[in-house]
Amino acid sequence: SIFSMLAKSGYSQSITLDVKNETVAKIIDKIEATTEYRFVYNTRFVDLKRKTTLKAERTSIEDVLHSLFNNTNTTYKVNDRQVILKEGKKASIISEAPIIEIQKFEVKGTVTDANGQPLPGANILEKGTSNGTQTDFDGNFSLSVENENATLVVSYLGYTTSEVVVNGQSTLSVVLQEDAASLDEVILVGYGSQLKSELTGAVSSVNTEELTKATSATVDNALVGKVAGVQVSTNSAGPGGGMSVRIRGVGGVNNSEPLYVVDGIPISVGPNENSSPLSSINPKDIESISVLKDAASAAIYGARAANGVVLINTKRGKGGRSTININASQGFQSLANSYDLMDASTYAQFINDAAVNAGNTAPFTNPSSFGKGTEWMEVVTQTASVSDLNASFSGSNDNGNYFLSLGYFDQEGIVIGSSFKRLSLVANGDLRLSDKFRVGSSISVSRSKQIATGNPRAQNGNTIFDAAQHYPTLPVYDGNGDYAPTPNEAPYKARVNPLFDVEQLTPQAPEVRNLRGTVYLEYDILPSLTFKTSGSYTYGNTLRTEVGRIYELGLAISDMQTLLKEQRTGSTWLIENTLNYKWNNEDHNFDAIVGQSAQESEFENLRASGSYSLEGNELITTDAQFLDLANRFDDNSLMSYFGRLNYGYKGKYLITANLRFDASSRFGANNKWGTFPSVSAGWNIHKEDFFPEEGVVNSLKLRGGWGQVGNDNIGNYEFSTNALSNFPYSFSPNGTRFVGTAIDGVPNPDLKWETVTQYGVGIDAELFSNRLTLTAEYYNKKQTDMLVNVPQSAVTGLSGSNGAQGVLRQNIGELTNSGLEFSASYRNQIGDLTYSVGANITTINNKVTELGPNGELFSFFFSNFTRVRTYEGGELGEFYGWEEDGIFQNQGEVDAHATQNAGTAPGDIRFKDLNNDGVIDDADRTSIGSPVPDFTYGFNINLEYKDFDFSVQANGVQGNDVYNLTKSTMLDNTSPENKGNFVPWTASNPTNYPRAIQTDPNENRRSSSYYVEDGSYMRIRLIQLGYTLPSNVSEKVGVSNLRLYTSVQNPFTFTSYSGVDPEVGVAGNNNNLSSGLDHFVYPIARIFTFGVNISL
Amino acid sequence: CQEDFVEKVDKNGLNSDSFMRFELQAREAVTSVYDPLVHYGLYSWGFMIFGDAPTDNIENDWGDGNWGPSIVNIHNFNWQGSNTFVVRRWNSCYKGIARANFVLENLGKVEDFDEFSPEQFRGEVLFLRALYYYNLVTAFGDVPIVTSILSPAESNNVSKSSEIEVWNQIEADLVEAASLLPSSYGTDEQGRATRGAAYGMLSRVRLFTGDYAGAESAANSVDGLGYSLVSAEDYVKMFDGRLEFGSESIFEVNLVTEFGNVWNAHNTERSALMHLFPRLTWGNYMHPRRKGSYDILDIFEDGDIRREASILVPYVDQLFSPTLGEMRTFPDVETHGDFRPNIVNDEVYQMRKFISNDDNLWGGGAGFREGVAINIPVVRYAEVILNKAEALVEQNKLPEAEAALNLIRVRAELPAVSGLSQSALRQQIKDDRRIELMFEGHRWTDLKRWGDLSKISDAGLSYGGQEYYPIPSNEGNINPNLMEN
Repeated sequence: SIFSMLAKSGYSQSITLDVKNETVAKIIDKIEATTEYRFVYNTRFVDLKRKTTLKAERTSIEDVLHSLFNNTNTTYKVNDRQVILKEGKKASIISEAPIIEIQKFEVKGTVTDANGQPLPGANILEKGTSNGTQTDFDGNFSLSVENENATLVVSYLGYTTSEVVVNGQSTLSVVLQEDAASLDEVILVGYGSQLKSELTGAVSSVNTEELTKATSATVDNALVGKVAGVQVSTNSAGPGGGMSVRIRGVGGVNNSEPLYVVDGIPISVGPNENSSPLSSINPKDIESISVLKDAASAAIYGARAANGVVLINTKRGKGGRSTININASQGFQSLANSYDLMDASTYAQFINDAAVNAGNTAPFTNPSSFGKGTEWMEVVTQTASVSDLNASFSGSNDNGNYFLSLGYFDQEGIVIGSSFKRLSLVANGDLRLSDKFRVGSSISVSRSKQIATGNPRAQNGNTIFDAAQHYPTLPVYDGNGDYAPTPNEAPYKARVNPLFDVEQLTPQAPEVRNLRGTVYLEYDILPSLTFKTSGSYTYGNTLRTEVGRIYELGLAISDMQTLLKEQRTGSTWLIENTLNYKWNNEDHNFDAIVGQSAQESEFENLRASGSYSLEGNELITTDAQFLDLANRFDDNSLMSYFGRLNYGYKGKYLITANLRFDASSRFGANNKWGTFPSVSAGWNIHKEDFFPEEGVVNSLKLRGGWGQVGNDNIGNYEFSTNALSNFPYSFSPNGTRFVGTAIDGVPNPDLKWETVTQYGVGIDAELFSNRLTLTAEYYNKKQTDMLVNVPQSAVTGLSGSNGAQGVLRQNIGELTNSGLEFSASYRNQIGDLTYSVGANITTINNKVTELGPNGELFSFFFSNFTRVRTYEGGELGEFYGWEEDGIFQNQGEVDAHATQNAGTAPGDIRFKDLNNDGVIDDADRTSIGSPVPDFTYGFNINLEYKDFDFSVQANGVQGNDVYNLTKSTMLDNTSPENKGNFVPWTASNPTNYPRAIQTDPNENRRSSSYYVEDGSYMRIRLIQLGYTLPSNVSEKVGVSNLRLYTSVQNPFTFTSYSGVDPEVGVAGNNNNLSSGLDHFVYPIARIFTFGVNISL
Repeated sequence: CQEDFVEKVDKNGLNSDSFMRFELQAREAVTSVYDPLVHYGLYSWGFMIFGDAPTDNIENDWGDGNWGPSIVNIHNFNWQGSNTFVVRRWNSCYKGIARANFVLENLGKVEDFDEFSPEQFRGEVLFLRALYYYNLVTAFGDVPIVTSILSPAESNNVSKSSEIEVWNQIEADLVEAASLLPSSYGTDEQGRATRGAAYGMLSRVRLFTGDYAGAESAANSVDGLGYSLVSAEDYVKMFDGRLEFGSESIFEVNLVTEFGNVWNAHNTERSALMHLFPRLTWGNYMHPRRKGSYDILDIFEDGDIRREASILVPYVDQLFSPTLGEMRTFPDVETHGDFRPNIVNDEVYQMRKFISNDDNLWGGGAGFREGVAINIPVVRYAEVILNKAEALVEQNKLPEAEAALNLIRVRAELPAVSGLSQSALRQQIKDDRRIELMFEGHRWTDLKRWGDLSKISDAGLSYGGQEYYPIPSNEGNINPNLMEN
């Protein structure tokens, strides 16, 4: 290809060895242990048991390999740090070919991998003969075969073997698929990487190819169902919407998002229901993702690792040549499921009945005259487009590599007005200055704009809530073609026409600019001792502009134009220094790292607003009315020292120990420093002599670990309390207000991190010639000193003026999460069909074991009732209320039952009298469901048949409850808004819904099990069909690889949940005490996508 | 150096160590003690919800949204510890008390008083603390007495004091406040607590404790401070925004109109009484009682000017319409087509008190945004006179009691009473007190003080015998001590 640069190994390290009469296997182990070279081979082609003697001193890898395999059937190839061992017969075969004149058909071709990278040294054999050849450096080959119907067997180590029928073609393109099972993966761990076979902790790496198959703005969205032990759920299905990621159970009561480390930089993310923390990262730029699930692997991140760590590295140039990759896709989204609402005449009749039954006047004179009325959900939703365009340029040679990428993502929301756009740029590079010096940088810049219509989990709504609640009896437009106002007459309240709202009142998207850059320098002090220093800086800036409108639409009036500008700036610098020492001899292998890290972040917010009596102002000027300015500054810092020691004995016995000390500015004066240790060990049983070599089991590892990590994810100055000056009062008839200032809280200098103590054991196995991979793990996580916002008695003066209880952060409570994780994958080939299936399942056992002096924590006060209670012995955030016991069918049943409310009558919900005191009151409330699932699972299927590929991805959650607050609001008789499409109970038609009565004397709307449902679901997230152009065709159009694909996302969801979608995630500020609560969540979209991947 | 690196101080404001070291900060801290007065549970509209809604003054059988059901539940004696007004009354009172305690503990640390008087500040917060305890004890009975800044551990373990201990605390604070406070302020600070306010409250409080001589003496102290009843013509103006801080006003919660969101009551100093607006379709709470055979108009003697000043009777009463510049019969559906149907259909009465005199403000738009800035009378000279009359009649000082009562009756353009027996005079004082202070939040506490709660059942309410509201259930969850009897 035109961009190729001839290049050899980009890496070289000299080898010192002295072995006598040792097996080839041991020698390979030694080389791997002392260098970064990693061997890839198939045991069938390499005689590992052959014993030999070898002595080398600072010798190149090529020379060592030559000594090792000279005069054997094994040949070798060095590709950067990878050493590929292959069967080496062909040289003699070709030289033996005696009867050239019989061969009459000449075939030429190329062999590439799935990404279009040429595979040099691939074997091509004419089937049934000993006639064969090998590809050259650019993957090209030419071979004379018997006839034009010959079949070629193409094989390459680490790839699945493919058979190709020549069928008269003189030019062939052969694409080989990677055979992941036979490769020892390099896994990203904190401050380095490790071979999968040497891991002792619970680390899962995610295949980024799988991740990027689906169209999604952010990578967390694509993680759903992919990794055992990691539960990802959508908080808002809107474009760029927030996700919650829970690693190994439900963390503490606070923000339980993992720590994200992107290219070595821990990125500080504020939890946000409506916006993903990873929205600045283009998923297509991601090279690898590792999830550090246990304390043993995460302890190197100390006080921030309690909820696990997600390591993300962006791509770097590799493969020795220059490549251009272009990905483009266009999708169309439609509403997968909508709200079932009353039509206008049913609604009007219901409102009339509810009024009359309460002794009031029916507001509608002729309900049936309204007919179907307006379906407001249809009015505010749309078929929306999503475009994803990416171009990347990458390459490498002896002296370095580069990766440049440009991406553009543009998604409209299915709810009119919502959208997400991102322009992103990545420039990564590494440069070898000398044998000892290496430098490099990773730079990422992005600009995004998101309009999140948000989720109305709290009382007041957003577009979806407003549309679902709006009056079906009202038209969209009035007689003049203007937006129809809400008339000022019974029963209407001052609701804005929802279409007017989305078309005229949608705010401008805030513009978010992000910069993330790091530069490092690496120096080999000794061949075994490397010093690395790196400096990183991240900068984020959000500019929000809101321009109010002046309008009068019936009851909805705005007579001022309010202009608001807000500038939020955040920056973090990070300096890290590490010293890495590697030492080994025949049996022992040490790899130690010590380091220091210092990080400081600053955030500043500047907001100005002003109001004008006329529209048309673009800037806030000093002559504005009600000019308002606000400024806020936040900072925090973290200082750390850390170390890790890996020790391996003969590759069989592995041990890892971590230690980190952190000091955080977020903690109180009495508790700044924390210590976070961990140890873990592994046993590669298959390397033992007693292990049968030819058995079904190819590899077997037992591992286990223990460790402690912390959580500092709280506000910046929670140990102190500020005076607030927003308690004014006016003493004068002329309205002059005096500033009122008060200390609105209580300081807590004892505040410290929350500790997670975790242990676990795991088994990794490979069976059936590495085709089946299995992992099983047990984990047990105990959270102590949990950082709980403990409700304070109002007698201390802490309380919200809205009646909410005041809270104070304290280290109180204990929580355990334990469970089992299984993952399995199997891959095989039947003729032209290559298939792989993968599945994972995680069980979650969540229990609050201690919760402070009162043992209970109440939360989610919604519509006058507390909905959530966490208590000792229960699960985190269980739903709380009365237990429903059917509908009263007649007055006799009402009289026979415990006294509920004064006006309780037939058609009302009967609640259980749990304490049998004859009265239904607060004391009869209990746990009415839990959002914590019993288990979560995911699976995927990939099929490849000739040029076609097909994949399915799915996930599921089982055994959790969802609190259907939407239903509660849509049955609420006390509000005149539209209702869900239900038929209220009447004596003649005794349905299962409460009777219509405006006053709701029984409080049917109270928190009760009537609104709690099983939230289990299984969702097919993606079905994709791809077609790769045969390379002879693609080469004609000048590309090395061209794949076309089409996919559908979210085509099917299997659930018994009656709401719009059972995947409701976590509400509000990502507080685990408000999960599983569905209140008019943004509806999920079904996405049809067409795309193309091109490599040049 | 290492330690410094991880020391971060919140720069966004002063903290509990640095605040209130200067006299201007002390003034700001004192101001913050007034702030809870405008909260929903207190003088935004709680005074009427607690004081009138569960009594024979009110009809309230409809309520929607966040507030309506809670008010209906109070009216129907379905009293729950989760009721939002019960919670707000409790929280706001203790918020005020905690801020008062902060000022009292820190006044001594203020470096120099130059412009302001620390005695006056102390007097103000003592008066306010007493007023908050008064609003607690009348609603809940036994409550914890907190007179110092509590640590979180302490606040979650306090115990209740008996009702009489709370009354004694109130009395002590008011007596000290009266000794410290000035009798008046300049025009720009008329809303501050005065000596008259302390004595006026004291005259009321002592009726509750049965200290009638003390109540009489406190009322007499008020007499010497220059207050006078306004004329019959001005009477209604005290309740519709036209006459604030008049000669009869002793302490009123000062509400001011301004642009903003009315829901943030703690930031906006407006009352939530816009829910009474006759042109706001969805508020529609709390009408003067007319239910079954009970008609509140029956309690008024002919010619009582307080009838029209308190209640709007559809198609009978006339109001001045600023829109048209003339008197119009209420509801004036020609000028405004959007009155509530139950008013247009003459099914309910409408309150006159706390309804703006400007009919443009009664609807959704402008009124909604501006709220109600009509001041709420907390202590009014007429009440002090009635307190005195009650204190006198209980001491069997009948001629003096009659003289006091007649001040009120004559201003209402009613004939003076004379020669009544003690019980007849006592009843007349009660009847006039109900009318004089109607919808100002006194009825429930007065009926309870008099042992007359059966009147509530007589008027047709479903009264269940309650005397106290349950302490908010959330508080009991934190501190089980509060749930003990």
